[in-house]
Amino acid sequence: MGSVDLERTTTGWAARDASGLLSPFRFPLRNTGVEDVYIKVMSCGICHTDLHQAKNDLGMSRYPMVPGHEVVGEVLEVGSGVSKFKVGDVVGVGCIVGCCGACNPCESDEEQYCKKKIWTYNDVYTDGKPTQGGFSAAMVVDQKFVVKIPDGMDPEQAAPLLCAGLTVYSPLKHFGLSRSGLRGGILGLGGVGHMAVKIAKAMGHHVTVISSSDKKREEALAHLGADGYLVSSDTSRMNELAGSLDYIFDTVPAFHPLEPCLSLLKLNGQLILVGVVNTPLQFMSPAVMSGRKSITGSFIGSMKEAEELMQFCKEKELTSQIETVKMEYVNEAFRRLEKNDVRYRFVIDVAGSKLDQELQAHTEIIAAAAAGVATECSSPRKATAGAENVAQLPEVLVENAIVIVMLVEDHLRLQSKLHRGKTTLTLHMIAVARTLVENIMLLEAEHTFDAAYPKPLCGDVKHLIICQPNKEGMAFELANSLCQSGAIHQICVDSVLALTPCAEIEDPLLVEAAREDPVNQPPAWMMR
Amino acid sequence: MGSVDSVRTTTGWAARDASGLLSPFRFPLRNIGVEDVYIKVICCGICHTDIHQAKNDLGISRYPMVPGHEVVGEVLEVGSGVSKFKVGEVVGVGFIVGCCRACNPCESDEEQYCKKKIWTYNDVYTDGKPTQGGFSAAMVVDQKFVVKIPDGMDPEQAAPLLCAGLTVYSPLKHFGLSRSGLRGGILGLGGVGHMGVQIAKAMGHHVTVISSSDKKREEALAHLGADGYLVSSDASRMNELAGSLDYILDTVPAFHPLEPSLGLLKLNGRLIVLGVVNTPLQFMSPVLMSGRKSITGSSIGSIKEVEELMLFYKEKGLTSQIETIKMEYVNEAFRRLEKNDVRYRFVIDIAGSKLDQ
Repeated sequence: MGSVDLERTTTGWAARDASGLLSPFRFPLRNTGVEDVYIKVMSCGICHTDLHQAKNDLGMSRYPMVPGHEVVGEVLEVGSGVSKFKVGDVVGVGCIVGCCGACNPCESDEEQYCKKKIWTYNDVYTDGKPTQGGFSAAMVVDQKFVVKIPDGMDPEQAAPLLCAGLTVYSPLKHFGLSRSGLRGGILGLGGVGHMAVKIAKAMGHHVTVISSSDKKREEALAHLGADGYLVSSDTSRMNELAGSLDYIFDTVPAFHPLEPCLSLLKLNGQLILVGVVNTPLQFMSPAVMSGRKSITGSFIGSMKEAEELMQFCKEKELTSQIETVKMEYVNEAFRRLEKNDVRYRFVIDVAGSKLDQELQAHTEIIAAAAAGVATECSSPRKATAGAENVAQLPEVLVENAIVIVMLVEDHLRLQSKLHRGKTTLTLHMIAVARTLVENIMLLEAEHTFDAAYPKPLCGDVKHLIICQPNKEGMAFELANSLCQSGAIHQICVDSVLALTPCAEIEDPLLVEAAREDPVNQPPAWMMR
Repeated sequence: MGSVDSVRTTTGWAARDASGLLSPFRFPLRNIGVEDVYIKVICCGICHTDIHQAKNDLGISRYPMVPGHEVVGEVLEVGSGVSKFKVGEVVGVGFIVGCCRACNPCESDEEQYCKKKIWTYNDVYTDGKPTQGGFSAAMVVDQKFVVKIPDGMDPEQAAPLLCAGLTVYSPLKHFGLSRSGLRGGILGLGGVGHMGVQIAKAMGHHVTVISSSDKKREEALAHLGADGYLVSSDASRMNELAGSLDYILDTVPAFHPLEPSLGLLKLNGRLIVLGVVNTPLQFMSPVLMSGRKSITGSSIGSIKEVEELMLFYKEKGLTSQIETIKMEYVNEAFRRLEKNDVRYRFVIDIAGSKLDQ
């Protein structure tokens, strides 16, 4: 697998915890194996599932997690066993990067149903390492899970096909619903729903968009090209259209009644569910019996189907409606996606984004600051709940900053909203400072230190002196003694609030919070 | 349609109200039309739906109501347009006696899904008169809805095929599940469930009976010939068999969780719901999505399919387990059927009963 020296790393944007906020993260990529393809990522679509995973909605998230499973990129290198792709090819990677290869599903080109499949991110690869997704500069993927993007297809257009498009195409194909002339219904008009309208129209179907409100009528008819629009609460129209649809593609990711859909289906009609709903859905058995109707579910598609879909979309000149964003916008995109405020898929222009930007900027600031304080020993000081210096900064800077680093008298102060990366930054600063001085002490009062965490950022922390005070007054005693010894060159305090005695915090809200959980409370100036 | 003088009447046993108690009832039969077949009833099976209808469980009952839609009888007379049947033949009538003949389902031999189908009883015929079922001495039925019983087949054996048997056969046929070598599950061991075991075995399937208790293990394995028996609360065994079945026929006519069944299905497996359940059934969408599994329902079958089924039964030499009773016993039979106390279908020997008692 290569020694530590030869290990490639890349930068992605990862969620660190269930807040789901993404920030730059450097991680290793395996060396290109015999069957591997090393890909420089050009663009990556944002799927609702990325949001669920980043926020641990499914209860199985491991952090740091780099999401992204609608990846399009350029081949940089191929393993010796790879003949399908060559350097310079534009290729795609979807939701899966591994499967067992031996089970029934794998052998019948239905590997998406393999019980041992490996997800593109938030999973563990065969080498024991975590898989990280396409919100990153590069990936190494087994050729089986790489698909060629047809010549001339815009990479950003191709990205949503790898998950959203495939999710639509696969069941229509599998259930014999891809022939022309059918009448289909599409429930839900998000990323997958819009793809469904496009693909169904391209297959020659009459497409009715079904919605709970009238809001998207014009979009559906005028912009997406749907043939009809039906509001499910419009009883008379629903009755008119009863028994008129061959299938309904249900993308709604929340509880909703199935009866209206079932009544719209013809004899032998299919209700195809593709939205993950965490509460039980219901139906009345007579509703399925009286028309031999089926309720079924489908899950993405196979690599074979992905290849077919690419050709299909090229041939039909199918374009998706996407909004291209830079990586720096991704947290805002997540926020908007949660409110379904996008027409209809965000695609990150990864190649055109500065992924390392934050880290580079940080490194410069830190190096400058570290040089300034490296030769002195900071004496521990009590923090005040207010920050006069901050009050002088423009509000827009304060609101939008990731972390504000201030040189205050003889020390650096880092302030920010929750989970913006103060600790990460501090660790990075320590790493840089260690190139200048030897003995650095970390006063770790939040008790969340994880030695593995900073490793990819700044190497190991073996030489870091870590103190985790757990009694009132202990921090100051420790720091005082160590400083007086003259051996400590720098002290980092994480965090000031955690060390401030409750009695001295003026804001009652902060006191309450500090008592419960000193780790996650912002400094007072953030509370306005 | 004939003057009042020449209106034939017959005697059946009808429910008068939602108590569901049956008692003798005399009612008119229409004169034989060009397409009609006049049948003397020999025997009639009792279906769980007969109870539901008699007791107005579905909220659509009109009284007096003569139930019965697994009818076998002898042809007494045929209309001038009838060539398929002749006097003396043994024929069967199932759950519908009319359809529009012009809609898609009708035109594709799926008339059981016609929106204008007319039920054998508790419905209104094209002449405006209520339809009455086979718990009676005679019936007049349009030839389209009459099926020939193969020579040599015992009428009492044939009766349950017209509804219970068909209910199983039709979906297996339609969904491509009639080829041999499949692994099927049968949930519920009543009239339809027992037919499910018979027919699936005859098709060459490995059959597992799934039940909520151990009570029917011996019957299922020793008497019905099932290959396996699975108690749904036996978590470890359920796990062992996860993802092992191509289909499950679910005959349970009451609320029950679907998750255990869905867990047993293979990739692309089908849960076929055959029981009328009056409360919503539930499932989790990820369970369907993660294995592309389907929940589907089926309603009895077509005339074409029942004809196939009759021949299939004859060819395979199949017999159903039935309990023959007289009409006078029918209320007691209803009571026992409600408690599922029958192996496995009651069949009323009508010709041998005193109906006018």
